[in-house]
Amino acid sequence: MTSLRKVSLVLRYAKTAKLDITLSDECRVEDITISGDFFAYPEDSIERLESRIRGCGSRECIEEAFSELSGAVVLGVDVNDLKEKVISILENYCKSSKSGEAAPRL
Amino acid sequence: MKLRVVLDLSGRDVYWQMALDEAMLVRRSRGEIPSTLRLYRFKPCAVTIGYFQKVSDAVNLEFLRERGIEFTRRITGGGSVYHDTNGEVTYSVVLPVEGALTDVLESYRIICSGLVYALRGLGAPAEFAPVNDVVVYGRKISGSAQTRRAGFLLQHGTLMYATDLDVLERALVAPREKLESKGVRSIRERVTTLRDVLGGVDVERLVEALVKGFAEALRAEVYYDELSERELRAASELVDKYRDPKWIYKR
Repeated sequence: MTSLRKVSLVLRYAKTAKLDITLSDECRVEDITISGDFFAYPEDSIERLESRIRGCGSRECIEEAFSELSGAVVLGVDVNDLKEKVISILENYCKSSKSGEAAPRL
Repeated sequence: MKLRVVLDLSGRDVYWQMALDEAMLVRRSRGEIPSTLRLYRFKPCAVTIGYFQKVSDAVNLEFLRERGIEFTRRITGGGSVYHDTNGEVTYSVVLPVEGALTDVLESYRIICSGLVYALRGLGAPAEFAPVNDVVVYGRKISGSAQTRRAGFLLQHGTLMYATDLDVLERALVAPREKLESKGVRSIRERVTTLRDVLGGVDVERLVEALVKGFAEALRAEVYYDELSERELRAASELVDKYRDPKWIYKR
């Protein structure tokens, strides 16, 4: 049976972004929502990004997913930092789930 | 450029106002209406949240329910806003994305300078605070948000002249991280109204100043007009979207 782990992280840039990520024991992103008071043009680039991140289980997959924003304008959020935060959530939690340790605090 | 101005201040509910803003963007992008500035009010008082916000992170649901304050999601990003019928005038403008308006940040600066000119004209030392705010003495008095479709933009925003800041503070939720980064403990400490700055304000003068301010900011020659039957029909077709819990709780 797959158990899921939910992680929420609030990030403060010029605007605020919140990551809500659900991870599976198989070290994959089951679900992700990027919310906050930032701006993105076009707006649906964020939804496309979320959709591409779902199912990712590696840094490479997430990096590739973020290429979805290459033609977009995102205001108020450091997109590179956001990407690194998603990757570190995945890597840290998966490392701990494999070793059986408690999940590290971010 | 010529700018059509619609003074639509009798006030309608939040679903209608958001539907009409979207309808005007769609109709402008199809070439069915000219570039237009609309000044309006929300009646009854209401809350709008930004396109990317989660309802539970942006508003105090319990308080809104208790007070019967309606709310919906905007098609524009940014944060949650409390719209006070007797304390706030909202503007919306639909324009082609061309020239200096092509760059998103610059377009915010240009359009928000309409508010800056208006406020300065009334005696308040307003300044643009990127990305989307106008501040007086460092406190926010206006926030704006923009979306773009098919080469056209819609920007709408607030001007708080006598907003009940106690209700605003209880209706909206600001993340602790946001308040800390602004060096304040509460939303209340971060915002102001024209009444607080000038001691009093005449709404008619404010509206006049806004029209003049936007004309200057957009280097436009303005003319006054009414909403057409077609615009009203287009808005009424979109109202249900803004009432739909699926849209409101999209995130």
